[in-house]
Amino acid sequence: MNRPTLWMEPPPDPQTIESLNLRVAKLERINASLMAHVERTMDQQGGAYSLFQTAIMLEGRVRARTEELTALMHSLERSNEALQAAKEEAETANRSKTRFLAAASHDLLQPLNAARLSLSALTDLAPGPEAKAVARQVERGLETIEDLIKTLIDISKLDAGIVRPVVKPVRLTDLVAGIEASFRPFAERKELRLVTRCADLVVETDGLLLRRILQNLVSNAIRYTESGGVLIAARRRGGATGKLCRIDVVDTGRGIPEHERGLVFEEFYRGGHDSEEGGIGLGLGLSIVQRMASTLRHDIALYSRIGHGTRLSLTLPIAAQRPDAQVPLAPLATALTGARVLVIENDASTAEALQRLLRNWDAEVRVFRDLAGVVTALGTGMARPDVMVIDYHLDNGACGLDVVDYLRRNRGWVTPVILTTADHGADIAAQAQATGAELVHKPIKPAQLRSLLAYMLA
Amino acid sequence: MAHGTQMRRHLCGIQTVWTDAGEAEGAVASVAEAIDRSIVGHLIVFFSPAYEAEVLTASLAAHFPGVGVSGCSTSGGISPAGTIERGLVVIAFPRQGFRIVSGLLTQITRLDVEGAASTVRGLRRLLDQGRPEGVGGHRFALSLIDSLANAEETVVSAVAWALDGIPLIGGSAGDDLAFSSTILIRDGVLCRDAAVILLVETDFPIRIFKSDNFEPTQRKFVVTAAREEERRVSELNAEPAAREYAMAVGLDPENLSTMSFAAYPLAVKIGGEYYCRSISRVEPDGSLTFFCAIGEGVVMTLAQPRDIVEATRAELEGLDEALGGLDLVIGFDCVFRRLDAESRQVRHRIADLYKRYGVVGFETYGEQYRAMHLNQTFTGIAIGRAETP
Repeated sequence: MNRPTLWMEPPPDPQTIESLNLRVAKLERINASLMAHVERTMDQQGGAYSLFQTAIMLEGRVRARTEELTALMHSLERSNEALQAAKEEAETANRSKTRFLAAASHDLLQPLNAARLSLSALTDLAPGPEAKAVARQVERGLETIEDLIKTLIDISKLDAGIVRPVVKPVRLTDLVAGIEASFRPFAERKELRLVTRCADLVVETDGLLLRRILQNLVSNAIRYTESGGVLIAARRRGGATGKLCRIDVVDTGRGIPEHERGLVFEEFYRGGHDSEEGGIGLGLGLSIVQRMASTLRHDIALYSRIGHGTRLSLTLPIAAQRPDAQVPLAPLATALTGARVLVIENDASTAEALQRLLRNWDAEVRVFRDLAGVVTALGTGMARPDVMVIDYHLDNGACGLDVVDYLRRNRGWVTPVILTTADHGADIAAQAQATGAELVHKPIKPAQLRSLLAYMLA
Repeated sequence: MAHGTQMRRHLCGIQTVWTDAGEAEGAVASVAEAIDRSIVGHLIVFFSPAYEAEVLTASLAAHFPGVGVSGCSTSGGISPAGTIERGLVVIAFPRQGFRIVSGLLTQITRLDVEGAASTVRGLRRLLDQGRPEGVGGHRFALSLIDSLANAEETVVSAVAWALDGIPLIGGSAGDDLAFSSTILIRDGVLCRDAAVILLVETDFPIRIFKSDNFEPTQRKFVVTAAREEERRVSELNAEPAAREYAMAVGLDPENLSTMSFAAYPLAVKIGGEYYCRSISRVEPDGSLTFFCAIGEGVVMTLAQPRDIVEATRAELEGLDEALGGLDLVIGFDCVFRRLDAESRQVRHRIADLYKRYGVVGFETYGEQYRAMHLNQTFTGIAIGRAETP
């Protein structure tokens, strides 16, 4: 590129001193003008030209600022898009995680369901007191497994933000008594004392989550205690008008060394020695407790002395109101004799257990795997059932409600329906409601099933 | 070529009329006949200096009683039919869809900046007060300024200050390159050494614009002597200004003409961009008078025009696209652009573009764009077809 040049006539003869003097004089004039201009530009007192200059500079500054802002806006738009994409991806991942969990829980709970039903039938068949006691123990073991699976599912749902706690007034004495009853056999087996000291308090919490928290704490305490006992104590803090309640689970176990105290709340942490019980316990206990407590905004604290024991304290608010009145249980059924029950269940062991249970209650039971079975039976003159127990998920992705639909459309049979599923999703609940079916989550509890059947047949 | 009197009715309700009638009274009469006067709320008139201004204002008052009138003399009117060398261009705004208030700034040679700003603020208040409930239209300001007062920079900065963000565009009145008498009119009053300011609020989409067509060369000049209040440069590079300029562009200093100034503009570089500073004429003493403020020590760059047709087409196409179809354009086109287009024999192509996009306006001695007074540009306001909801 050419350098900018001041336009001047070339000197006629560059050699003469006269012409050089002329050039010098010109350049001095130019220089003086430029200096004066520069000084004037610095001066606040601007003339008309400087007004023009100022206007353009302002215009330029506004434009530069606009461009900057536009660029910033574009980059924000781009990062928004990226965030949106990431969010969608995360949501998709969450949805598939939830679907996976629903499916897994279904598969896990299905055999459990069958076992419990069989157990119930077995108890009815073998009326000896010893057999009943053993059956009760098995029943409790199954319950614990069920709780553990449910806890895992719930924790995942808590993590995914799917489950939100339902906080309302809960009566502590009922809850603690239930826990004491369920853990007494375990304590007795280890020759540990299980003591509760529970003031009659009503706390503001989610009853289900609090029960899980305490179950975990008590279960842990029993597992890691070799002698002595476990105390569950609940009392008001801060005097008679205190607004807080503290629930302590205290054991006389080996204690937790100081350097491990931070770790006990992590997943899959177990104490220095495995419990001799060997059975359940994945080391999920305290990690779950902490998540649930933090979801509920209850403080949890740990105190431990080596060789003396450990105390875990949960602090939660006292409720301002009394709890809602207990919903009275449906009266026990007696009218099942001779009732025609149609069962649609694709899982063979569950089907068998259910059949045995229903027959024990003197019901007439027909069991089919799918709609095709029902259609065949209808062809051979199957009588109209009084009630149907239908599994939602059948083989090959078929839906149990198709059977209901088929019978309504082709036979005009509007029969009461109990829909069973291990899927806790809102979708299925909505479908059940739309069909007018009663929804029962697996594993089916025999007593619940029996009273529901009686109610529906009444 | 005689045009007679022609009228165009635009979608926004504006009627534009142009006539090449030989004298003012007949021109106004034919305009009044051509348009639907019942809907008109304000007239902007651009007239040939050959018209008798007193007759013009009297005729306008007679034919358009109660209608606001603003206008100025020009160096040529712009109409869709081409340049009106002797005649009248009228933009008749309807009362529906446009609300217009106007004010007059006098004695701009010694402008009272505070007074001018408060006049403009008064106009803004007037527009605010008359505004119907819940209406928020698009606003712009139009300036018509007497160029012989050498005061556009001061006027524009005072007005833009008071407008506080409302975009301003406008033109400096002309007198067919005679440089003896430019005239402004407002509501029957004839003025010199004055500026007419209009504030317009409309329901239609608008966009202001500025287009130029020159690029800098490597040749630089320094203003070494000037009389700034007269915009007169007596020396460039410590040589008589006219001679130095003529030598640089390779012309005989005795034969410099407006055509030469149009073909070889000078520009100053401010904030990374070049702005034309046009020479209006050579004075007998060999100094050069400009259309804009100039100062000693200012460095000027010789510029050369680029393809004026292409630059103009690009600007109008861009506006057409941005507004979803142009309804009309009120334009202020530097008289030198017309002269340069003429000498390059592309004037008919510019006229075609103006016709296609409905450009009306006049040929100026300077253009106003926001807070700037410019030379050798085409500025204006474009009105789009779609009525904003």
